[in-house]
Amino acid sequence: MPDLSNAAHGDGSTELRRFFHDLATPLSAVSLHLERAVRQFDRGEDPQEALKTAREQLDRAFGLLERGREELLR
Amino acid sequence: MRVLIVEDDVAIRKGLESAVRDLGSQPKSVGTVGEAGRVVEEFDPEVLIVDVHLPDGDGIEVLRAAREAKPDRDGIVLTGQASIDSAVEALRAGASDYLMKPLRAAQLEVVFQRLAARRTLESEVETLRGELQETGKLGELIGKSPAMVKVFDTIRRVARSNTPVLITGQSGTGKEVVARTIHRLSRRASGPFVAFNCGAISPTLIESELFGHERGAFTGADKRRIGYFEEANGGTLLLDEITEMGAELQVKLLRVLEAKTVRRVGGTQEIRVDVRLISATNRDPKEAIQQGKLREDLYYRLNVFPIALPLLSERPEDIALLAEHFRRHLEDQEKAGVTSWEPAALSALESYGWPGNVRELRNVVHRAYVMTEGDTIHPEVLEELLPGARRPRAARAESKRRKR
Repeated sequence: MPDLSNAAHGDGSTELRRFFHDLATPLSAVSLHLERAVRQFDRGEDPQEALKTAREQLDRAFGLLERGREELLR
Repeated sequence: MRVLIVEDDVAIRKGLESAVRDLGSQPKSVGTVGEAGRVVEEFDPEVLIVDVHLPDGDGIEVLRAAREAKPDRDGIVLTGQASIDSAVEALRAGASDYLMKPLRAAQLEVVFQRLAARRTLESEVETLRGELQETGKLGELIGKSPAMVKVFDTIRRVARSNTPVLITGQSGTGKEVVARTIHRLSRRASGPFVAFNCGAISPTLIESELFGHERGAFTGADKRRIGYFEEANGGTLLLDEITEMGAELQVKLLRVLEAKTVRRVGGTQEIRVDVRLISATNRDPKEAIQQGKLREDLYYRLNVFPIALPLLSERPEDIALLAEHFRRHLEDQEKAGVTSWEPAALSALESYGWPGNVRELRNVVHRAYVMTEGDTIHPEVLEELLPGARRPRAARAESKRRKR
């Protein structure tokens, strides 16, 4: 997790970009696994595992977002 | 396609693997530059999907190394931190696409469709080039004579461009086959190829056939119809017997070529069309201009790249090659067991004048194939099919001797 304390004072654009990059990773996984679940459902297969992964990655994204928010408010 | 995914995040890797598999390709995934180097050798991927930031290095370097070993590999670069520098770096390494996270499988589908279409096209072009070098074939065209080798060379050059082509040659010399081959070798090969014979239809109907018409444009136009220009959009349109098109319509055609738009008969809207035009004629275009059959300004517009097809009698060395090609084609289809030629039969074909050119030869071979009993085509069969053709006495004696 990048140090976002500088971002709040306007000189931490690199950290902010790192933060967005870190956030984009679980969001990509959420999107890919949700689409995988839809395809599996359309084929009559069980989408449980894909949905579980999507949920875990969504939790991961929220965790990162929360920590980022705390850093910014510090 | 074999696709190697180089991405350190396990969840993304699994998601990409699933998306790639569902797109009909064969995925394999690794999480580091080190592993990628080893797997590229073993797995021999056709496409690499690489993340820029990997724990032990740069994914773009993986792509660069893989493409240095095999330049026809495609690369898709993934990044969560897009920057102009990294996009330029990715392009320099040979990436065909640069995708930003968060990713969606739908983006990947679009990229894969484009890659697959390009790969199909490149493989067809390579096949055709190989055919030409090895067997004297270019698509459906056959010939090893200097005249045909020159035609093949011109076709390959002209196929790469988008310029209009005018093919001249007597009836039966293969003008439509040449046009089709240009289309197949061009970047438009995945688009439509539409052939229209201007001499086969009443001059009053040509305009609506070419440009289409709106409902009620004329008596009998009970519904809207798109014309051949619109039908050929994104591909190639062959206008055969171009000199049979009336002078008034030639003016309209000239306008279409310049504006790259068509207006349906009875319509008010200009419709943009992206069509590569190939025209053909069995007349001498210069004579047609003098006789008022072809507008000079249209001729110069169409004749950017001329291809003159030789008469079959001007390339006798190709006759046996063509005859054998037609026989083999018939045998593949009809399986009558006619598998060879008596040499005297091929000599008879070579000594005939072929006023109807390749088309006549194809018809004669077809009839000879049908009339042949046994596995070999004998010259006696051809004597009945080739008007005025007499075999040399020596050939007849040889034929009799073989039969005994």
